[in-house]
Amino acid sequence: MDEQLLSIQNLTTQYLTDESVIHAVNGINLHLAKGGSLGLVGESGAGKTTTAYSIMGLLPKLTGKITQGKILFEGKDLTRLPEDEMRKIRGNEISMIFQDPMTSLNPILTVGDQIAEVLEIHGTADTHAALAKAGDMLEMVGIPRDRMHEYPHQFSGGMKQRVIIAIALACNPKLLIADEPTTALDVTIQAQVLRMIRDLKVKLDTSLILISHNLGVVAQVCENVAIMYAGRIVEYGPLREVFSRPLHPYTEGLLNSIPRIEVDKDRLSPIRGMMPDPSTMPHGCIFKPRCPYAAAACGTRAPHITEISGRSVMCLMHEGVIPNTMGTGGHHA
Amino acid sequence: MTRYIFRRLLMIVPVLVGVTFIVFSLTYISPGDPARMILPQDATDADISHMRHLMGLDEPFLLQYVHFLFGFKSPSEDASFSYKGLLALDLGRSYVSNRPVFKTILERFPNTALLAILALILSVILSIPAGIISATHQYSVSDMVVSILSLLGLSMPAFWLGMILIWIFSVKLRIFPSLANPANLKSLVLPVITLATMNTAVQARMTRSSMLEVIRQDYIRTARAKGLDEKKVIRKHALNNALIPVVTVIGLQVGQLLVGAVLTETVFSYPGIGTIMVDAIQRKDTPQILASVVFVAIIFALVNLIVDIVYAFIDPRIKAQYESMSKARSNGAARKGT
Repeated sequence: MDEQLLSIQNLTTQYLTDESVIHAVNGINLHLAKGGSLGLVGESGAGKTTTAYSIMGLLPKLTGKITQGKILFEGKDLTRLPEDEMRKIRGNEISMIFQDPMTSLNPILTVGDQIAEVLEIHGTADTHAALAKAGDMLEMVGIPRDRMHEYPHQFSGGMKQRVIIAIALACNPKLLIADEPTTALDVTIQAQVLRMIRDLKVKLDTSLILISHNLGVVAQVCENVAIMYAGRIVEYGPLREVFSRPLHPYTEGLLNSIPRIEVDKDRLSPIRGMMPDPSTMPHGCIFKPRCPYAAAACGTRAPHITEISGRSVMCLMHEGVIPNTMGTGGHHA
Repeated sequence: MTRYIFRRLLMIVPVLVGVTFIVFSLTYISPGDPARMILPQDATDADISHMRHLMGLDEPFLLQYVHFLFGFKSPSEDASFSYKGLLALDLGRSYVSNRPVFKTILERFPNTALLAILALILSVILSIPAGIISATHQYSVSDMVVSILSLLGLSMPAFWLGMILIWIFSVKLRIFPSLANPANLKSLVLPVITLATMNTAVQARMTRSSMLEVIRQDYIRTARAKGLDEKKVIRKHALNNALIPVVTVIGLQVGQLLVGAVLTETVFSYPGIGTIMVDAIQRKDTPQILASVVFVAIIFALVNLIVDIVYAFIDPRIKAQYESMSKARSNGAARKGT
């Protein structure tokens, strides 16, 4: 088996507000091999970004807390690392690309300075060399180097995202977390940026966690995929297998709600209902209220992780508690 | 950029024309006759109307405004009522002191400027760090202290605070004199504190709210994700962005400070622009009133110009805007030329 780069064990992250506790991430397990790529897919509010912030140590200081679990990065538990140790990892060994490129760059610093800054922080280069390297990074993401003295407002959305990618990759990190990197971009630019992330990942031998609500985006880049629902990973496995034969009703629902060119279908079937309120989780299986296969047992008994030939799934159908009727469409069909 | 500054300077002209016209009209329609005030109590009506003639006050309103701008030659052999007009920076002599009005203003302006600069330095030194600490430690004890103090500072009128300070430090403790004058630095302590209090409060609140907004921005998250430590995140990424609106407020305050804090100067009998204005208005000293108000308007316009230029240096987006504006204009002119 490949060497593990990142291993998340039973991670539980909560946001504490005055009125309630938001259960954003509820005991997830994830593994990422060196050089691997993992897609983290789910609806808005499924806990994808919270997972990323937990890894980066960027949870809001007053409200966000990791209450349980470990995040092992090259064997070090990031949840126990003191802040100054964590700072050396952030931007250097683990980098992150954010969702909205329009607001993610400081408007009053030149893009060159903003790229050079990350190199200076991690002592990779002195000021002069850092600026030169910043120029190289810009060229690597396809922006002429003489534009490094320009300010973010002089760039388009797609180019800003390239600058952000350049910042994230400047220190040649071991892990890149891309949080919805293309969501805020035009469709035509999306493909470019995705291709660039994929190519640079291979070129720099970086491991990748790609967060998206869009299965199509993940399909273009990732080897493995984890489907997140209400703070849990309900299904995990190699991308092709998960896409061709989903094990969890939620995955099936997601796949049925995107148009496919090879299947002749008049209507897409969306997943009915809404995700549960993360401050009050339902008993039993969290997906039960929306599940077309739900049986009485699903309301009382929470499913555990079931391993099926290298894949894992959280559903009572695979625990043999209720009959496995996957693929039939269930009783809503 | 130079082109922009030049254009902004030109834009001051219509502002000043408007200001002078309004001020002149207000002085014209306000009650009281300068001629009667100059002459002794027992002057006859004939004396008064002769005096009005010498002073040019019997002319029609618009003609008087033209005189005001371009100068007036008094029919009397004595030159004391003649002046070269606003464009030559000569509005004649004060009816009260018989000194050229602009001379008095220019003599007193450094006093006001000294007080203003000291008050500004004090308020900036106090308010900006206070605002930053308050915002970065939101809901902490220090945030609460800053918020309460700034609310307090905001709600104390200058004349009241000035008198309280005089009562405590001059009357009771006898540490500082109650009359301020620029030659004695110690005597400036109380007026500077009085002037700075309100400004400090306003700036601290502004810095706090602006900072709170900025530290929630995505680019601050980006800076943290780079592995920058929190202090540098604040200093390098948050502060400069947060200061943009604070500069506007400070600019407005500098304008107000430079034109003389009328109340503070009066409370401490400080020889500045503010006291000139109050005296002139009380005595219906028309040339002095006009000269002071016009002077104040010029200072205000210049300070605003400086603030706009400072903006361009803090925020490249604004600079780009200025530059594209002048580029667009010169392009337009070139097209018209062909």
